[in-house]
Amino acid sequence: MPKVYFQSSNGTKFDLKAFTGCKMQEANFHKYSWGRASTQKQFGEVLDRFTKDAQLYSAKIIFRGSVEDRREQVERFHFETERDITQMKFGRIYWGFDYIECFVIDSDTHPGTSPYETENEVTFYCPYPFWIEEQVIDVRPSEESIISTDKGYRTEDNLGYPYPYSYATAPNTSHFYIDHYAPSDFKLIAYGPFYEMYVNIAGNVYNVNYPVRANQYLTIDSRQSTPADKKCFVTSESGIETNVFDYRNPNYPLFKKIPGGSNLISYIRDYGLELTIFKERSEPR
Amino acid sequence: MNEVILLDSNMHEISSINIDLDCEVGTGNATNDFELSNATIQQLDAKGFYLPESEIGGLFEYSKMTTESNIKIFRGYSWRGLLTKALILPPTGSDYRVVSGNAQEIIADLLEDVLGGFFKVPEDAEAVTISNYKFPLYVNMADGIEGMLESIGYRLDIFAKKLVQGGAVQVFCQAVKAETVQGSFNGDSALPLIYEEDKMGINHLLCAGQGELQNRMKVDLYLDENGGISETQHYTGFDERTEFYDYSSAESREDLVDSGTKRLKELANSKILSVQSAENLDYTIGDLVTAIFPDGTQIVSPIVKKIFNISGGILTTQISVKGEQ
Repeated sequence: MPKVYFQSSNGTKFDLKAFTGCKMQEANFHKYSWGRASTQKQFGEVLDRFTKDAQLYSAKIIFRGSVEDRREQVERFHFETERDITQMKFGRIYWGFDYIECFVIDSDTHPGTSPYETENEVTFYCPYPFWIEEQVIDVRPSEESIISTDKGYRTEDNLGYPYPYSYATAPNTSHFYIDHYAPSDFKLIAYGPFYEMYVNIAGNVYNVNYPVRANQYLTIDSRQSTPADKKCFVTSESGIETNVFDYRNPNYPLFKKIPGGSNLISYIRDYGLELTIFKERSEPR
Repeated sequence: MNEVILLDSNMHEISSINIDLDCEVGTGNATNDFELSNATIQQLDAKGFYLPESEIGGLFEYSKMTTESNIKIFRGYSWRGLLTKALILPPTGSDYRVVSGNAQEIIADLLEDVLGGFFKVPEDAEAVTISNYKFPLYVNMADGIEGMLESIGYRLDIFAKKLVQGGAVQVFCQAVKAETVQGSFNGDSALPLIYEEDKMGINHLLCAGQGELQNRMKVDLYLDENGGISETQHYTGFDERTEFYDYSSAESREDLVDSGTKRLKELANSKILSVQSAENLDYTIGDLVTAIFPDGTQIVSPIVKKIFNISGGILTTQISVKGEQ
């Protein structure tokens, strides 16, 4: 059984599988529904595209313990979830390695069936209805291998322990593998110094012609949810962010998703890269 | 996914963004403007947008916001719309502007003084020759150039492109050969067409000008089977359809004939070609639609309007041909 927990936007975790403290009694995170946009024809219809509405999950959380303990836990849970809403910052539900961003938009707290329990029925609202698993590929300068924290044949025990995953086929070229059935959004961080970032991933060039000094780094984030001025920027040593989208190469799509399967990454490896792949699914694994 | 790119006041790119957008471009009565709404644009201090290497784009010149929402509505002229707000004038001492030579150079000359040289002609634009083309008086720049190119089977191509990293986006205009899409009634066509044949029209127009009662100036105009108009009657008996045209301010018989002829053309039998739900097509303004009617009549109509819509990241287009209502 995977770890299941809610994490508020500021990182406070609530283990939803603990038998003491709190436990999620009812929830169905393994449901989804695709909509479709189509054009009606004489016989049937022609499918234009699939669509998906925001996802709602109902759940019942049981808080256990003394009256004081339960009051403190319920208060802490609501403090965190209400603050997420007032600050418009997502919390996350984690299921194993996957997470989905959410807000708690409904809550009904009442005594449980046992005198030592308090029930809290909540609704998680997920505007972007996809569970995400992150795969990090770390390409270091002057090293031949690249490192990946992706799943492979992992167990929960190896979570957080990067292991060599891909291999170099040439001094500047390496393979890496994305175990996913669809092209994925990504976040690419290139650590300075370099004069120009020019990386070929899966046949597409990601090129930003902007000099980045030592202790600075360039971030390219393809996700739709990323604010427009945070999609291609340089972060200075003091944390100042400079939008450098204007310096992208107009001949190549800067935010082109990275395909699943076996891929090549090639560039002059005199600076380091960290590539995070966001693999999206309709339900957690 | 079609992401438009926001521009700052110097036409430099700020970022790509997902927005819902309506943009209409074309000749004649096309609005040549756009409307989009987004909450982020204001925060980014964006002044315009474009979809690379397409005609979709423009500068924000109108905004609207309500107290109920933080979403601001932006409007402005499309690139072509900006061209419609400049006129082609005859040179000093001439009644008309008449041009000959390389169409690309003619376009470059015309655009040189428009909007501070905002539009350019690509250096690698293919040369094409124009001979003694006379622009209509005071025609706007977009319609004037489009008309000039239509006369030689070309169209005006407008697109915005960023040439160098860190450089400004440039809007280009050039002459390109018009594509032709052909369709025949009951035949396969790349374009779903509507063939409209109206035989309920008028073929005899009694025109009356200045004067009183029986002394009014009168002219009878008749339509013939080829669509020609003259003072010789063609349709008679059961086939004759007559209407009266009152033009009491006609200054002369010639004036009455001219106005009556225009009126009779409007009222006459007609064959109209229109496009049926033409979505997601590559054809654009100035391309030609040729259709053969059941009786063998061939009608050629240029595409005069194209409406772009981006919703949920999906771009759809609709086109209209000349004469369509």
